Amino acid sequence: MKKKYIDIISGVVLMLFSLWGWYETSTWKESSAAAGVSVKTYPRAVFALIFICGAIIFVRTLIKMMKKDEGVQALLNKVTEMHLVKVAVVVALMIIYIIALKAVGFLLTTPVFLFVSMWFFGERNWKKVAIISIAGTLVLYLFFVEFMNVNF
Amino acid sequence: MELLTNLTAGFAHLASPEVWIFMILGVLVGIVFGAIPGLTATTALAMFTPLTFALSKYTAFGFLLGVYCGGYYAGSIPAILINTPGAPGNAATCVEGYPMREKGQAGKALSLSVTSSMMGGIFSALVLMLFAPLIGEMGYLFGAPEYFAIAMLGMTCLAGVSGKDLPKGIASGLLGLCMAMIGQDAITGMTRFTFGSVNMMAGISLIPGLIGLFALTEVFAKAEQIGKKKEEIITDFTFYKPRLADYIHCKWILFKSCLIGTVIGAIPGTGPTISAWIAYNEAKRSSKHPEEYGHGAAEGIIACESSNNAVTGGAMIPLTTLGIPGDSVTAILLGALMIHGMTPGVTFVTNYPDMLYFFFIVLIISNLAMWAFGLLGSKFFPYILAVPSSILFPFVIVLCICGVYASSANYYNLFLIVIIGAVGFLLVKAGFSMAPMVLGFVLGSLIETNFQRTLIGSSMDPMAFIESPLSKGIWIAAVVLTSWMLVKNRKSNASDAKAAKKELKK
Repeated sequence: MKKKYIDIISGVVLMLFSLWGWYETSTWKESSAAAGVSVKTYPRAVFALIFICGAIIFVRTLIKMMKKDEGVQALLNKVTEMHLVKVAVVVALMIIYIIALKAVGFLLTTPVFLFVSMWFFGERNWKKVAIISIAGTLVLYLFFVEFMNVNF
Repeated sequence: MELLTNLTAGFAHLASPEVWIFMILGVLVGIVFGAIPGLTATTALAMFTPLTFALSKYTAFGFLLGVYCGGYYAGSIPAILINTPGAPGNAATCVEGYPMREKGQAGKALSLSVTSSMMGGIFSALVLMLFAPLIGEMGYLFGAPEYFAIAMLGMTCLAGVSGKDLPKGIASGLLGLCMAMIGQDAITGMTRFTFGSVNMMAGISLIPGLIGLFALTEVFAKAEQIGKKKEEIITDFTFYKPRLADYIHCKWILFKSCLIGTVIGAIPGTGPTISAWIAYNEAKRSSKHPEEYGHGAAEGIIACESSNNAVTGGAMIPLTTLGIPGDSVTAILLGALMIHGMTPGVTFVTNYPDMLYFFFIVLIISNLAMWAFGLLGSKFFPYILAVPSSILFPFVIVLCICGVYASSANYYNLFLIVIIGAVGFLLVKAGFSMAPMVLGFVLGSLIETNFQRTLIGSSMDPMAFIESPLSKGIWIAAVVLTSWMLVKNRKSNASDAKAAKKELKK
């Protein structure tokens, strides 16, 4: 994606986020424990500043887009590559691992997760992957479960 | 004369070989715990304090202070090698340490880190020895406005760590403040941004927050590279011998960082995170080569790590002289003192002078042991980088998950780190830096609580923030530092734009 689009989207998202935050603070009920200080004061100050930052990023990019300077246009058209599918797969793998960790336990899920994720990260020697997964799990098990008494 | 007598008495307790063995063991335990992301010196001390019941108080404190020093330093190892701070205090080290490792100078970065940690630790131990009672009284001067001012001084680092894009850096810092806002309001107890979840009422703890923002963001960035290009593993297996020239070259930065660490450490409730960022910012501000910062500047590592470990001696000052623990680690040490039959507080110096001086000596010896182990390790730690990322990163994920679970025993935090990591990754892709976000996140609760306390204490008078001479001084320092950084940032951006134009014309 080109930098100019990333900046415009970033600016808009920041402004929307701050508006949501501001709205959220308006749903809070004032507490007498605050002794005169509104619980909304500090969060609203932070959200207002985020809105200002978002607006600066947005307006600044629009102004730059209108300029005819070649250097500025080259910077704005700089492309940032995004391969979000691969990241989404790793996120999904982690979520499945955490759910399985809770349901099945450390010793059974960890070698499977290590095996699958090493395969996904590009390690194709399955014997090596299998040995490392099992050995690595045992070492981690000894440290966290046996030594530190962490109960997964 | 009294100093010499007490010092001799302190040294006398080192006559037992048991004290030495446990002290060195403590340093090793501290290094192991500190180097594992998610586990910190606090975890190690909490785990091992009950085991010291059976030991004599000198052996016990030799061990515990060894863990304390080793743990504070070792967080820099994963910070440099895998961009994951072992503890919050080492987060600033990532900014320079990781780029240095990417340049193939992991050995040098680790060597600089352990040597400057040792220097910071010994500096603060000497300060503790000479000025403990004097600095201890400084804690009394700090009220809510002063704490707010010092936290804002920490936030001035935003200008320094924002990179080229200041609005994005500031926005990132503000998003960090938002992260810290989640959960219960410290004054009224009202829950905010919890979406009805009971788990979110406690907010986001530091360990899951930092692991999500640094470690998983990096893991996701690596996942994005899968299959794109053949990985180039730049490793540096050569041992980097500590050179005096490295430290003489930036002696003032080193001195200032040690001083910042000791003074900040002596202020209860602050700790190594804030001191490391302030030292980093000050080093960048006063550097002759600020353009090198963010690309693996050795000075940056020296500043962060010396300041981080200088906190160890500094934090012992309010603990021993006032009985106030500065952070969670010293809170455990306070408990350990009580367990071993000593009452910390204003009478500690007069009641247990030999113990106080024993602490100084142990801190100095532990720092030297830490240096020896760290230097030896700096030869071997980089070998971890020879492990292909296809094997390393799955283990980093499991280690992060185990570490976070070990620190909180809560599955909710595990899901949280995935979400934080994914959001962090998207922000990095959009050009937002993670360092300001971490800064905002770490300082958020300190800022908010003291902002509210000041206003409540002054019946909503905003002048209360600058009423005392101390807070005035801190505010002036904050304004001067920010202005300086902004001017430098502007100059640097202008020269970058000129360079880009020239390149385009070519």
